[in-house]
Amino acid sequence: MYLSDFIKKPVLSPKGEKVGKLKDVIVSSDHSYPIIKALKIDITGKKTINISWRYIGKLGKEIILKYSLEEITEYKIQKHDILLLKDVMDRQVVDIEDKKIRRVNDIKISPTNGHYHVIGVDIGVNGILRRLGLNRIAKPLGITSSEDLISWKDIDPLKSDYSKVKLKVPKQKIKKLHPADMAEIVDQLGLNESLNILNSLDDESAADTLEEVSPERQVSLLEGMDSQRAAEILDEMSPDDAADVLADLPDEKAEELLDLMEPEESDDLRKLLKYPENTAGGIMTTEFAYVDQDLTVMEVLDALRQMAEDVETIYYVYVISKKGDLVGVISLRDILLSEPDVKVSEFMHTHIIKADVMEDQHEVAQTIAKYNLIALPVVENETKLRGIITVDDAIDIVLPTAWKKRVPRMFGR
Amino acid sequence: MGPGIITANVDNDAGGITTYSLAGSQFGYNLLWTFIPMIIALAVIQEMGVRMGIVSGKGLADLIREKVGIKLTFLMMVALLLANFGNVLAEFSGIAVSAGIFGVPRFVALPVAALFVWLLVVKGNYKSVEKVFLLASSLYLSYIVAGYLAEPNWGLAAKSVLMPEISWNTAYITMVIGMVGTTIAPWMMFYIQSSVVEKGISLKNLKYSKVDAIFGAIVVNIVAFFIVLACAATIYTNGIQVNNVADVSNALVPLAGQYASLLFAFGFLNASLFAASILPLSTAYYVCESLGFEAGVSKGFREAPVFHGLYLGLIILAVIIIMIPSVPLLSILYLSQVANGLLLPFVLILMLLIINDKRVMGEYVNSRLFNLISLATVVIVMGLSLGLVVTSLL
Repeated sequence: MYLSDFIKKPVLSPKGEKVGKLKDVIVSSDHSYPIIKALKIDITGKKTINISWRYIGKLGKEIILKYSLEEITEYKIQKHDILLLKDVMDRQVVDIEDKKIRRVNDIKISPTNGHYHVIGVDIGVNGILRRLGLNRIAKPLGITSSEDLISWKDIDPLKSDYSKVKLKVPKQKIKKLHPADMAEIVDQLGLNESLNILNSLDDESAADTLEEVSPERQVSLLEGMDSQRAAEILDEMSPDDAADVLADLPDEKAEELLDLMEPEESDDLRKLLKYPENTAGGIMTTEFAYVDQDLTVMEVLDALRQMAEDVETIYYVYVISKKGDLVGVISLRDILLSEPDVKVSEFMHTHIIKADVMEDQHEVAQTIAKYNLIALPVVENETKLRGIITVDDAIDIVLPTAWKKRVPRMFGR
Repeated sequence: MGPGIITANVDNDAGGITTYSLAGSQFGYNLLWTFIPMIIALAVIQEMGVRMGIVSGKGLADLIREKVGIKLTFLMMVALLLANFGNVLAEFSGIAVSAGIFGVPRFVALPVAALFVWLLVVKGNYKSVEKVFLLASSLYLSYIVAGYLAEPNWGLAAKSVLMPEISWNTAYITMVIGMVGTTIAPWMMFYIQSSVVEKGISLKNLKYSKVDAIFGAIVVNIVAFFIVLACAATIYTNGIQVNNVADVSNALVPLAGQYASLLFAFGFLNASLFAASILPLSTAYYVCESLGFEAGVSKGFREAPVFHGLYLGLIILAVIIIMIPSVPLLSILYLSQVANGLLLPFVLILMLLIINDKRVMGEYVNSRLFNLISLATVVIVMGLSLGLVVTSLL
């Protein structure tokens, strides 16, 4: 049975007289397969009333009441009640596993133990044909496809309000998705829906997702959300990505967000924002591993354990002199293969391949490709280490991830 | 460059330019007054589309589906598909005509154009597509230049804008419907709202987008104004009979010089190509997304068969029909504008229903003035369309 089988069907009194038409079906969202609690009925020539399920005798092509209208007291809509036609039918469903946005074409209802349960939503062609009244014509013509149903227990409203987006996967499971997949969904949805999804994630997952979203969308998402929350998400993002977004925001807004962020993070960002967007300084990250040149291998390993959480890569460790100059670089392999009590200055590479903060980003990408590096140090005034550019950022310069899906989208929805 | 400007430029497509140049050639300066009410109506309607897109974050087709259910949506989509197919035919016939002006036969020009459109969308990257669009938009200025080169009688032009002499014969009314139908096209309302949603413009930038929408409405009408002006100053004044854009372009050579003629023809080719790149794809998107089919160019044919079927179907069918040697190009152009005119009031009524719904728009529902202007547009266009149907039956 489907919702479209009942909607607008006549409602009869116990004596068999037509008293009105079925307008909507009210279910309670408390149950994982919601039970029909009441029917909303358009009384002929009068206004609509909600009639509790216990007064309903039969639900089918005709709806028959057990009592006459005078004997019935009206059902009051409660907090967790859903109006199936008004709130669910024709709305969007986001199928998170398959990264698709579909529409509710019909709603499947099944009788069990004297109650009617909502089983799931029909997102297939059959639902459309049924509602257009074409299913009887379609069947003989052989235009049938298998049922395309999403089980109700897999559906979760993003907000408590059911008229907003529904997800095929419950909120708790969203976090398990890869941020890049999450971003693909956010890019496809409207701004409001994308905000709902981001707001349902914790700061860290929201930050990871935001890093993967297309640049224009990043800006409008940050502008659209509460400033405090935006600042918290920026805190969690890696500094180079955060700086890129801030550079695209209007100056006033960027300043407001920087003030709301944790001082430690915002200081880094302010430094990064000084550099033009397409230079090495503009794309570098400030979270890199570095050690003093007097440390032994043993001490370096200890230092690395402390830093590992916060830095972009631990494979390259940069060596800094007492005066703060970049004097060498060691790889994780060098460290592991050296004796514990040797000083790093004894085996570090002193011929360092590096980029100036003002160097063009494409040259940076070429350097990384030419020397097969995992990361490239970025310096100011020849020796002052300011940041690093990792190979994944270099790939982004050569192959912008977002364009492939953006091109067609600019023509329409 | 905002969605308002791009939409406005796509709006002056093959059908539009043909209609405007015939209006100037046949009625001289007389029809120039229509641009004042059209600017007002178009600005109001574009602003409504932008506001709906920003506030709801959804496209027009989606909102219609959520407002009136699947039956009306389905009907609307079938009507839109037919009207837009008419428009796609018009764009490709525009390509055929302008290729003809440059001496390229249509059986060469059409497949090349179709391939160009397909490659631009499927293989092009964002930056290059944007550059092509920017270039295409600036080329519309060629019409304003052509208008100046034609040395119009400015006094007469000003007089017919301020003190119009309206006549009530069938030919005149038909031309007015054609002009309204092409200036305020139904697909355009879907397109502008989708672009706004696509760009993800937030509520805080609503002001700027409104300005962009209104500015776009003014720009499209100014370009159209100059097309009418150029033809009025030359072809009408010299009493030359023209039937299509090729005639117009040829007639301009002795009257306004080689450059004005070339600019006119080149602008026409550009406009047809520009709209042909956008219309089939956006149509496929609206239909699929409102009915819940998988949509997207990056998805394969197996994944999104309906989408790809519609998109390629529209292009291929249009090219095949226009390739038929004896196909009446002018009637196709003209009929596509009439289809627009007939569909327009229904789209507007649905827009009004949605934009006055507090559940969707919250505090951003329409003001009384906006409702009044758009209702007046509905009534006038419906009246004109009914008039056209009646007169063509008599």
